[in-house]
Amino acid sequence: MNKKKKDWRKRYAFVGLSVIIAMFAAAIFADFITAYSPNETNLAPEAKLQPPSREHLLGTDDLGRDVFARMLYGARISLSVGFVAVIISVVIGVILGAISGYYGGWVDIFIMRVVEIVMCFPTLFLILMLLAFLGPSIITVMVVIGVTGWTGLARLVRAEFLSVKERDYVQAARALGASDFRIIFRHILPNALSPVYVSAVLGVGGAILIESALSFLGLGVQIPMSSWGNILTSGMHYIESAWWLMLFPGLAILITVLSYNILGEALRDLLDPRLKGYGQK
Amino acid sequence: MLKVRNLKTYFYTQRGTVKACDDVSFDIDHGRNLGLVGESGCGKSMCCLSLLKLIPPEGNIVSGEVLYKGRDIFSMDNKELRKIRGNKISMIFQEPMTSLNPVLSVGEQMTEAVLAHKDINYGEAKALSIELLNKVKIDRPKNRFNEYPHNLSGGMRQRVMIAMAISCRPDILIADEPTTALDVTIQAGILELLDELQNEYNMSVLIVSHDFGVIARLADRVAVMYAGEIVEYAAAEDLFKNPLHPYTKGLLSSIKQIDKRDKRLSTLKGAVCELDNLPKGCRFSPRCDLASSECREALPGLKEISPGHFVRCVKSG
Repeated sequence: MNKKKKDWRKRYAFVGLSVIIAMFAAAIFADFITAYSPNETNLAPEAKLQPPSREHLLGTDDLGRDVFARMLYGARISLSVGFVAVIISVVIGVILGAISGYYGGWVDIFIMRVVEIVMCFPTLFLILMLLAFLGPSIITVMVVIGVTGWTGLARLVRAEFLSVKERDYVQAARALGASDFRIIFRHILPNALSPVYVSAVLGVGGAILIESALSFLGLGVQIPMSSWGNILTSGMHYIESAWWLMLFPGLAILITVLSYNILGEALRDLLDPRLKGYGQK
Repeated sequence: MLKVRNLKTYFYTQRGTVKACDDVSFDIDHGRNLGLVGESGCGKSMCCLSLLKLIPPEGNIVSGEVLYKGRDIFSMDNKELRKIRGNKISMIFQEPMTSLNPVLSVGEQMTEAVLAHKDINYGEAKALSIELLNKVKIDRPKNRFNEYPHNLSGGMRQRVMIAMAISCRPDILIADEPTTALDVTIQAGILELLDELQNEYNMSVLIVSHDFGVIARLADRVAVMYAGEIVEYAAAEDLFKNPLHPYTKGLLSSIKQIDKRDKRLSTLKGAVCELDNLPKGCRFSPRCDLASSECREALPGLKEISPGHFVRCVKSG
């Protein structure tokens, strides 16, 4: 790849990262950005379903709540669900993938069959089923998205381990008396992480989408707590009269997921040694 | 100190059994160096790896024993093995460019090796590592301690590997073609270093090479390997002066001699037989000028021709 193209990649990554950081900042500093409370209702007819104005930047909903405030506080939920769910997936995926790739044999066969079984379930329905059993709450949503999303990562890590464990330095470490634990986590894992970074970043976008879908279906974050998904649901009934109720949370989801995907793709290109520029070691 | 008896390491592949080490026996005495010579693919490396039970999972140590100070290494569990590896018997490899982990600094890797075996704290391990780097003649050891492998040249990486390998003052250092990947001047430096360290630490070096020059420089005794078997085993001086096996003779005569200019360099005809498709009878017979029908029929055993000089050939002695 020539230098120019690589610069573009860097720029993409930068744009994606900036948007994500801005989103996080908005979520963290929600208290300072808006004076409205996300749950403050105003049932006066003149306060309900108001279009965007100077007073209510993104309008108000059917209970007279400020949509902008609800979205800011909803961002906390949506972003943290995405983040935590992916951390859970990464931990499970990396550990199982590492064990599978490193030890091989029966352990590998067993773990990979489990992966295939989990992969056979349509993820969204599996999640819906689990949530129906466990009852919806933010924690269960995070955990359930996390424990259903590790399969791809486990395979990725296993594949990396299969190649890295054959390298000379792994054998050298073993010859110097390093334990399996040390070899796995200190010698192989750091050399196997770059596809994990990419997959994790892309996974955050996916997890946010799933969370939105769940909240939209009423099995995710429960009202009155707001999340981008359930703001969409509440706007659904007014789609013909109050367009702002669906447009802005929809846009927020779109932009966030897109940013994660752009960042992930750009990271993939930057971390892939085959695409590294000439004259670089 | 280290006794290897009837070591057999086989690989069962779809094409058949690959006998990487077949009935290999040798001794390494305290403070003495053993050279292991042979062409590529004759099982030298697998033999070394077997000693520390480091062979890849597809390999099987079928039989034999490796006794280190009377204790059988093959009957040890992983924990005991780890206490031997890098501590009592350590190993350096052929490819210094890839034997260090690219994501860990020199210091991290060195202290790790030390801390794995010694009951000392990080500060002491660091001091020891820097001292070792100095000992293997790496300039500015304090700076090098914090550098990464890609900052070092091949020769320096091999020196770092050696420093790591000797960090626990092992009794035996297995050097599997330590200079093959390096150019000649660097090679001389590494051999000199190994020689010095061997004297200073009074350890034994098992030096593996296909290069008789390297062997001659360090070894007290030499084992010549061919197709997974030891074909000749003798004191170094004895072997060089009076080689008995046709294979050893062939190898020695194919060394370039600068003073004999007009002579065409003699070579061994053919190639090492495939280890999964061994000839019946003597394994060297297809390439041997002296081979007779007897050689193609009978498997010769290792015979002691003169005291301490063993040969596996029907024609000798």
